Amino acid sequence: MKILAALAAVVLALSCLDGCAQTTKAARASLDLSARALVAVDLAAAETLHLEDPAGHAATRDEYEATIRRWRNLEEALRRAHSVLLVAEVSVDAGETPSVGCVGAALAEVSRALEEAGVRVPEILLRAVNVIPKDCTP
Amino acid sequence: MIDPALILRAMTKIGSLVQLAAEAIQHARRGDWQRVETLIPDELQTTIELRLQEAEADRRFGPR
Repeated sequence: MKILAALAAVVLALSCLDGCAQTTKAARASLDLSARALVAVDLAAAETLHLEDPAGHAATRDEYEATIRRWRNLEEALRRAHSVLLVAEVSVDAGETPSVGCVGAALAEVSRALEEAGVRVPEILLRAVNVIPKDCTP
Repeated sequence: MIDPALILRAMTKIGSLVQLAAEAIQHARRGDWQRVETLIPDELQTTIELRLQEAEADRRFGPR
């Protein structure tokens, strides 16, 4: 009886090893795609902000503040998404189930901030937002 | 009137983004990946550009 129980435990452990490896692989692929999307967004946003040059074109401080607000929001959303990605990677490294849903939610926030700032949403971000779940329950 | 050089730069940027997206899809299909800390620099380009804008605004209009 004990032998049967031990065999069952081994079978369970082996099936978990395979399943866990697949889960980790999928999480790593999601983080990779998200990180590449964030880099693409960061480059596009920085380039657009540089070309728009609100500090150079605004006539008054009020005019500048009205324009720069949406850029501050976008920059904050980008930094938050970066932090969420790093935390998720630490979770995967530790063998835990990462909060991929929080990554998806952070990317969706970046997408909204991009639209508000008037920056074209890169295709890779659209893809990431579409394929990664956005149910974040920290 | 939009400067043609700006349009050219924007089109080049869009082209490079499309290429990046294609590469990401290829990576996902092959199942290989890179670490987040390898892909994303410590400081974002947008953070750097925003800081430059804020400094220029302070110079022109005085500190907030």
